[in-house]
Amino acid sequence: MAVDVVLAETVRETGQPVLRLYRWWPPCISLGRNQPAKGQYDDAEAKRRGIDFVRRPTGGRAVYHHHEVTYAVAVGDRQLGGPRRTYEAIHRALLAGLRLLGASTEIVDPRVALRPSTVPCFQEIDGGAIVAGRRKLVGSAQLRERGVLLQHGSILLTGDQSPTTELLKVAWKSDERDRPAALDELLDFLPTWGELVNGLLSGFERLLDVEFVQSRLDDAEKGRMMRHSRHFSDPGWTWRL
Amino acid sequence: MAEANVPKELLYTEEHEWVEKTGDDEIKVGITDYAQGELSDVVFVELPDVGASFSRMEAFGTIEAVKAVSELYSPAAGEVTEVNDKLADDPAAVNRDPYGDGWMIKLKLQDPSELDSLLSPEGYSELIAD
Repeated sequence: MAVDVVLAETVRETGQPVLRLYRWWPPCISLGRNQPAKGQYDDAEAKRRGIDFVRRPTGGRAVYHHHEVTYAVAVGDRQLGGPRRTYEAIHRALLAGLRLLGASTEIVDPRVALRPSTVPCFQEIDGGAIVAGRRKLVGSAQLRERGVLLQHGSILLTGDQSPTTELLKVAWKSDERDRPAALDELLDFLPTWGELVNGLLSGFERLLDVEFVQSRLDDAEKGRMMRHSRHFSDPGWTWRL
Repeated sequence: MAEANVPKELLYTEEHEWVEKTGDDEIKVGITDYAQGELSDVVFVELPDVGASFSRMEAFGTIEAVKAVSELYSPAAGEVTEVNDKLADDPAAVNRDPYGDGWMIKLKLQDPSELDSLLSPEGYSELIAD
């Protein structure tokens, strides 16, 4: 989370859009900025399973980060035509990348909106999501702050997101039809990290007509990352609602 | 999208807040019809407590729509005198009636002359036409 926010700050200074692709360790459930969560998860069971919690700066609902690729894009809020058009443009680029990898996927009609709730992100299909059939493969969320849009999201590789419901204290009736999609079911193989990165980058390059330059955080960015890390690891923020 | 409504009697920020002068040193604030249309369905509005103070263009709250969170910016420095609590249960009022039931806060201004730097209806219409 902290790195994504640092990237958004850097875009505010430089105007240079950034794409980041990453994985999580240990596994973690990220909560939407405004979703209710306080007292709703079984903390002891989460600890026993080695699962952390963090609250995102972006909207949306809970995502289990394990066996997935997380992407983050930071871009000027008008560079791709405003929040909604940016959301659609990034999903079209991801869709192109997934199709290059061989995954048969599509984008849901963008006019369906969901309220923040404890219902996990991948359990319900919202407008603009990337799906395979009626099952969600990619879920994303956005923050618009001082001229910059940060959009990040999760592309499921394998597994079923079950900790997002199993760790809820409230009784949860699982329905097989709500099960998310995963890339390993859509392809004959599970791509390597390198293949995933190359496929997704190609999707962005083709759809948005951009060329990527690889970079790392500089010392100043690392300093800001440490500061933001303190915020995101503060239980007062994670369990604020 | 249908053309956005930009009422002639209001002032505007570049971040898409509208401002209504309700007294010599008091304003009412919300987000514009254009902004609500861009965001689409608003699902959550987080507003400050009465008594909170903000400097000019400081974030006073956030709004969430289709998983997109946007900050809300104070058009001028001042203290919050009233908050539209109804938005907690009915955030969609921002979409339905952005200049009426969808208002967000009332501010007592530190320096009413700060309003001079806001955009006129014509200036705001030009901004969103770009």
